[in-house]
Amino acid sequence: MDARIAKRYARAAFSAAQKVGAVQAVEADLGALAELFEHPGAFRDFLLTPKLGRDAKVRLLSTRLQGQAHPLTFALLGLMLRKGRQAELPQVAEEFRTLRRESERVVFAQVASAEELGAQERDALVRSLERRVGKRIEPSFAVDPSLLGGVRVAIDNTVFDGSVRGSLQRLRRILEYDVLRQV
Amino acid sequence: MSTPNPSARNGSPAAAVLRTVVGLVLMAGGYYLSLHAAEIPWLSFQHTLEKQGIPLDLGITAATIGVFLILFPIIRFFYIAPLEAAIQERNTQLERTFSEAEELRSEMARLRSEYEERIAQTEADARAQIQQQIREAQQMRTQLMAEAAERAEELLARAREDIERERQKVLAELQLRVVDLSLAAAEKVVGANFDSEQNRKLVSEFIEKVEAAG
Repeated sequence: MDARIAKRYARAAFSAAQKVGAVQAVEADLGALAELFEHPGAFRDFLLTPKLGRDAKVRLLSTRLQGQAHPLTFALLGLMLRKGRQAELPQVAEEFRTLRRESERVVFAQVASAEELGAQERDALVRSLERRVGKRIEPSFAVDPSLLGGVRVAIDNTVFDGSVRGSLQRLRRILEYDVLRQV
Repeated sequence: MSTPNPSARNGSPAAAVLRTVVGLVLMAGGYYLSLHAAEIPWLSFQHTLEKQGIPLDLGITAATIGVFLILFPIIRFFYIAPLEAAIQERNTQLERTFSEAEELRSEMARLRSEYEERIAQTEADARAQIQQQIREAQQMRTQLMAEAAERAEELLARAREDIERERQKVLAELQLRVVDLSLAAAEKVVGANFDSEQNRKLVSEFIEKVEAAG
C-alpha cells in the first residue's frame, strides 16, 4: 500500500468536506466503512472481489449507501473503486482523521489504563494533558490489564507512562544497566 | 761429478810430439835390443830366465811400449774418447736424474707441507664453523625458548582473561536472571495485591505529575 496515494485521496476529500462543511460526517462515514473493511465480512469481500466489475460495484454501493452515508463519502468511495484503490480505504480514513486534527490543532492521545477510568478521571487526565502539550487533546481510552495499575498515554511519539508495568520495566532497565556496567 | 777438460784429455801438441819421439826411440831401441840380446852382457839374465821357464824379452817389451806410445792418440780417438763421452753423458744424465729427483722430493715436501697446512687450516675452519654453528644454535635455542615462554605467558594471560570474561558474563547472566525472576515475582505480588483504590490513587498521582512536569 502506498501512503502517498492514501494521503492524496484523503487531502482531496478533506478539502471538499471543508468546503461543504461535512468534515465530521465524512470522517464518521469513513471511520465506519474502514472498520467494516478491516474485519473479514461481506463488505470487504464485495469491495475486493474480482467477479464484479467496478461500475457494477459503484451501482450496488449507490443503492445500498443512498441516504445512509454523506454524498461526499459515496463520491470518494466510488472514485476509489473506479481507480481500483478500494484497498486503501483504512489508510484514507486515517489520513482524513489526521488532516481534521491538524486543521483543528488537536492531538490524538491513546490512553491505556489497567482499569476502566471514571468520567472525572478521564476529564482530569485530558485537562492535565492539554495543559502539558498546549493543545487540545482527542483521547482514545482503552483498558489494558497487563499494565497492572496506573495509566499510560501515547501522544504521537511521546509516551507518558504512569503504569506499574512501566515502573517495573524502568526498574528492570536500571538493574540491567547496573549489571552490564559491572561486566 | 766434475767434467774433464778436453784439452787436458787430448794432451798438448808438445806432449804428443814428445810421446811420439819417445815411442819411436823405444820401438827402435827395443827392436835392436831384441835382435842383439845375446851380444849384450847385462841381458844374459834373459837366457837364465828362459831356461827356468820364464821367457822375458826386454827389447820386445820396450818396442811394444814404444808402439803403444805411438798408437796412443789413435786408440784414444777411437776408443777412449767415445768411452769418456759415454761416461760423461751417463754422468750428466745421472746428475739430471738426481737433480730432478731432488726437485721432485722438494716439490713433494712442499706439497706435503701445503697439504698439511691446508688440512690444518681446514680443520681450524671446520672447528670455527662448528663453534659458530653451536653458538648460533644455542642463541636460537635461547631465543626460541624465550619466545615460547612469552607465547605461553601470553596464551595463559589470554586464557585467564577469557575465563574472567566468561565468569563475568555468566555472573551477569545470572544476575539478569535474578532480576527477571525478582521482577516477575514482584509483578505477581503487585498484580495480586493491587486493588482499585490503589489504582485510582496511582492515576491521580499520574495526572498531577503530568501537569506538574509541563
